[in-house]
Amino acid sequence: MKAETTQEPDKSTGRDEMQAVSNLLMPQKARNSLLFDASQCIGCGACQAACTLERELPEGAFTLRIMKLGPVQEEDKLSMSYMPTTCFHCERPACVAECPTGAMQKTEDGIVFSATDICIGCQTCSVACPYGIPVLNPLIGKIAKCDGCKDRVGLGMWPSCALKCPTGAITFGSCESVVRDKQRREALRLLKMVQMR
Amino acid sequence: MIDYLALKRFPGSRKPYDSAVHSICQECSTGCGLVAYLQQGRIVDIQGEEEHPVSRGRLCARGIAFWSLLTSNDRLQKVTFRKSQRNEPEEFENWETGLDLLAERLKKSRDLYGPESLLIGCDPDAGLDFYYAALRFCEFWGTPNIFNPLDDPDATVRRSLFKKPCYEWLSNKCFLLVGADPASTHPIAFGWIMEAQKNGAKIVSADNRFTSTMSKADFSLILRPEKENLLGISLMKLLLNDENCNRKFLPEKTLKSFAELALGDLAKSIGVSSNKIEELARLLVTTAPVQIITSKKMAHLSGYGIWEAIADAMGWAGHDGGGWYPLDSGRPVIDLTKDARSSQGSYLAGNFTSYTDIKNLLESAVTNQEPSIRTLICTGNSIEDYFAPLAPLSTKLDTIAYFGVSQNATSKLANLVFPAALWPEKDSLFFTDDRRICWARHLVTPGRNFRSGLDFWTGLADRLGLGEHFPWRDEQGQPDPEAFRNWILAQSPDTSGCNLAPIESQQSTALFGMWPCAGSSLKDPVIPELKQRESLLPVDFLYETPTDLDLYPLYCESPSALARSVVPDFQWMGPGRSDATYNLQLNPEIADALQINMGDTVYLESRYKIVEALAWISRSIPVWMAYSNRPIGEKRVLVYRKGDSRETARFILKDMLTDR
Repeated sequence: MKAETTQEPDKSTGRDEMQAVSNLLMPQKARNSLLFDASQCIGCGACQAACTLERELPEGAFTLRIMKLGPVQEEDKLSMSYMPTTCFHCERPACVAECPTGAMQKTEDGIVFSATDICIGCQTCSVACPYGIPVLNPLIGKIAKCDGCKDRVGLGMWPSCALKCPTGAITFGSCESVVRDKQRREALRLLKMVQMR
Repeated sequence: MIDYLALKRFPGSRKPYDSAVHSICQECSTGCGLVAYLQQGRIVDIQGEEEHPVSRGRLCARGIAFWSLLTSNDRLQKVTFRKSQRNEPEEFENWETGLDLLAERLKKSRDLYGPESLLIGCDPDAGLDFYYAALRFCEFWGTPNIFNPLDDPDATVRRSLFKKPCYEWLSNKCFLLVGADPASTHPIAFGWIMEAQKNGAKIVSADNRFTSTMSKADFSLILRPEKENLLGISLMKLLLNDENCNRKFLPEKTLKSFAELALGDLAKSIGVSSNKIEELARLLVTTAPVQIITSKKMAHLSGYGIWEAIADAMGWAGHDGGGWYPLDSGRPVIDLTKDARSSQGSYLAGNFTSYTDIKNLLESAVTNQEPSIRTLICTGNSIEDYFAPLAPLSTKLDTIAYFGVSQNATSKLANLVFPAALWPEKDSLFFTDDRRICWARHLVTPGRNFRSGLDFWTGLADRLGLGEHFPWRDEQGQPDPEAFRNWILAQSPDTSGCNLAPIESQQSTALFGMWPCAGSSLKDPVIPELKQRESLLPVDFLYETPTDLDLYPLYCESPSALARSVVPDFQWMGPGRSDATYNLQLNPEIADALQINMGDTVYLESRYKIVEALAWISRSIPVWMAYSNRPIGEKRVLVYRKGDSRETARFILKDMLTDR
């Protein structure tokens, strides 16, 4: 999704101002999205294992976490859902703003990543992030976090978590395509429900 | 009409590699296709096989993470021996020394106590070749004492069962999952169930606790443990009144028995209301045909045949989208000892396929003055799982030999330890739930000290004068797994026509055989004929042993003990980290009554054992259950907070659970 060129630059910090001006002057790359559909998630952990393998992380350093919500009692029934959570690649990432070395960066197509050759492992980003997403990889003493599998995407591949997911709870594509895909799947589901009745 | 095209996937690996191996994952009985990318013989990446019809490029957490065990510090590296548990283990340089010693001990034990003093336990981690070679060894050694927890007690009855593979489930109308939690245990197969749900299928889940599968179900019931087959009996009673039910399936005597059963009594025993069972029956009738998926553990309980009877009587069996689909080992019935020398008939005719049989053997072995079992050869964490009653006897056994992958409670008790090759380290014959015959290519070359089950039993047989009965050798006289594989397939009428050569020569894993087959590697499955039932009703379904209920009021369940070492805090989802070996989930009502809070240390006590555990309060667990992350070896337990009185806890629990 391209940035709105008519948007007023945010004046809250000097750095934000620079970023906003840069956005106005430079055309942005088309952005991709990872769509996490909690209604399809079964909490199996495949995405977590995929990311651990992809990023060669040690046990316990989870760049993708699965939130288990429930079970909660609703009248006489129990309900439970799972939600895989990872970096949101914020529009105004606090981790980028606070990183003292500039290791944490945001690319033109919106990906927030940490450059391991610059990172000093101070974990300021972990504190700054409202979701606590960046974690320290104790093997190398640097920050690990979701980078949208930018190296895979750059080679034309899907991110590892989306490829592995057994139920299609994670899909990948342009912002329009993932939303359209979800809309069509929901429409088809409703249609089939009506047909079966 | 909505025109829908799924988002196009772009698979592959971005890591540098010098070879890519296509194979089948053997972590569960789904059998997904995978591609392992290797650099200098080491796995650098694992991706799914996009062409595989079952997995379509997807993989579950186990199918991705298995590689870490290949180089784990937990992995057993050398053959070791210790005279007793007080001694430090001594490492042997090679397998030959270990096998020499084991053979010597077996001979001594046979001379003193007879060949039936040998007991063998096989779990899936050791591989199919270990199990099949062990069966053969047992026959020629002369012992019926071999147990595999995945064995189905009535496999001969179910051999003609038609099972549609999961990629053909998209147009199913209803799935009845009893005791099965495929969202946790077989996520890839469950993915197909969810696809069918998007097409309008109903998911019905009946289990002992609230599971991930149940969280996606349209209709659910929580059953008392070991009462799953009773649910089937109740449903059959109700479905017999339906116009679609073919009552001729059952003998008159059985029909009369069903009529005499009181639904209220059944419902009370199961732990649900009669209304709920009636509602379920109505749902099944209106969404028929129904595919009934049942779990392995139910096969060992009486009344298991009810599910096949329901599928047959309601006309769901053989119908597109319906029938009975038991989760089992997927193995055909194979007679591996046709050439046995015994003229009295096969020793294995008396072998143990049910938990009840093995439990009786183990309990008598423990309680007798002179234990009947003296030598144990096992794989997996058997002493903590299916051989748990043997634990008190473990110091009195002459020899415990462990063939496995990583350190666990059983390997620590063993006199002799033999490090096993993992499935990615050997070419394997592999059967899946849906009757596929797969050949799985090895991914990496094993280290010198890691050997296969066939190597183990052939080596032992050679030292005990039984080598002639293990004729599958290469030119150097070493065990030949390919010859063994082909011989196995030739022994069963269900698999004798299967030729693995075309499968082995293909790079892709998308080609496989289905059994039963004859003459070609792919054949239409046989639709089972209608058959009568002798007896379906379990005799003692309404009664439990009173003593156990009084002393140990809670029912303890846990996931099957993994052969690998269990990392405790992986399963801990409470606050902070858990260093406790046991984590115990309790129902909030029970926790309240016993004044137990999240994270408290509690005692988990069974007839044979008492352990400390960290308490985790969860609504997933019904009031009558305590769910432990690792087995304690007994089904009935008492729980109380550390520092509190166990008698008070027992009194409170008994009071709460009476009539519930």
